[in-house]
Amino acid sequence: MSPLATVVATLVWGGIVAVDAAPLFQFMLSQPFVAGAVTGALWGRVEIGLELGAILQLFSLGVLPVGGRAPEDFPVGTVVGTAAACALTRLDPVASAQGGPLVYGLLAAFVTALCGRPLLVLLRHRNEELARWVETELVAGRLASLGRAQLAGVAQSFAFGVLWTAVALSLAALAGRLLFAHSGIAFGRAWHAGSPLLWGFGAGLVVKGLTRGRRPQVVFWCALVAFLALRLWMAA
Amino acid sequence: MSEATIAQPGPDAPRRLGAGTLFGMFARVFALQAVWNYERMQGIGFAHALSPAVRALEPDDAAAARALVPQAGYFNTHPVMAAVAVGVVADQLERRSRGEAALDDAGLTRVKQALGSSLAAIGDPLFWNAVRPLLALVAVYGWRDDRSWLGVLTIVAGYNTFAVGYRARGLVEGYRRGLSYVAQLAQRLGPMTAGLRMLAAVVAALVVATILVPPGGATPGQVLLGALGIALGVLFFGAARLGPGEWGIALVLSVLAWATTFPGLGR
Repeated sequence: MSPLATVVATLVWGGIVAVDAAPLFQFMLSQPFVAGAVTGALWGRVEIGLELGAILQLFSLGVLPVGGRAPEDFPVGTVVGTAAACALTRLDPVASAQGGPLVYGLLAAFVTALCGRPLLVLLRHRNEELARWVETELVAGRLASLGRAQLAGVAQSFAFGVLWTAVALSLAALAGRLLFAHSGIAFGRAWHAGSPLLWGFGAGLVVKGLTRGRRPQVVFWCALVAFLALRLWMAA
Repeated sequence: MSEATIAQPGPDAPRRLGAGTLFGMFARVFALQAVWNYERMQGIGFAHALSPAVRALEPDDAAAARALVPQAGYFNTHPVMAAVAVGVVADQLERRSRGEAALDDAGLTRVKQALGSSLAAIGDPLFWNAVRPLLALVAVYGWRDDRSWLGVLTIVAGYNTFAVGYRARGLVEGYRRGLSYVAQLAQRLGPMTAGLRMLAAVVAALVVATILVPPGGATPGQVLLGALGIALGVLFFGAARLGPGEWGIALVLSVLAWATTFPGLGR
């Protein structure tokens, strides 16, 4: 795929995961592991997408899309982070060999996910106007307005997803290029030394969420001891 | 609302909504949150999902549109479990159209709100806290231990087997059995939720084991850092109002600062 086609496909994929996150289907394409793998595949570096997607998946499991809370935008964050990491891999092969783009991709993903929250709130407020319009139309006896509003809601989410991916990816790529020109090696060192910490933190917060209550805790610790013993025995 | 108003129809009561109508409702349930907003949350999506049923029961589009106005109000629940509520309300509207004892619009609004809360109390723990983490952890474990990409299929196919299947079943059962179906849901799905959470805890232990004893081997320092990360995640997540995004940024920046300060790291 040409670079331009890759970027366009990434933007479309950003729109798709934004729509899948809540407005339409929720087929779990927006889960970071899936979103990262597809983005990595689009850039010809599926292993980068899977590595970033797996770490981000652990972090995102702590986010529950319940009630009125606007969750962090991990779907678009994963797309942007993975695409930025893949782009930097092409730019700096030395730092890439040490995993530097992965650290930068994670940073870009977290920042995009956090900055995406106000955009989600804005989108939801725009939907309020759409909902009021539908009610007026229904009172007037126009049934087709329901379908039109639904279509508009999905289209609006897709457009927001594409635009947000474009803006965040442009900024991430630009900043990444500047940073890697001077300190690409430092990023590589950071990945080598810090990736266990990031993996561990992600796993730790999942463990915390899953082991509420005595029985899950007992099950978790028994299983952990057994698996550790097994892995140590196999390693020996 | 009296007990009589929510009585179930007799087994021989003729049903007016055909398979095509039910399929139309099923397809629209996937767009339940298309116009999600803070005022009505899933209300517009709920009315949209119900529209094929209302259209089949009303003489024309204009009457159907006006009949849907009360259904476009506030509603919120787990998106998969919403199919049950759509089925239950369709059942009530159908009985009303047959002239049987059924809830009026005000009663339906109250029932919808109660259904939203009770179905969310079942669906959130099942889908968000059990099925999703279980499948995601299986995928992450497969990647860490075996560098396998098959977790992508595990998440998508596994979740949708549950979610799409339950949307279809919830809609049909909600329509056929009405509120009596909802009454036994918590009892039936509760043990399954608990079992899946236990399984997820076991897979979480597998993932943690791959961090403490990595498949390709690791230096003691890396193992220590992994353990430190796990301890940080378990002890401090949720503290100081930091969510996963803020913690992620803080951790990555700390790691970067650390690597820059001590250039010998990682060599």
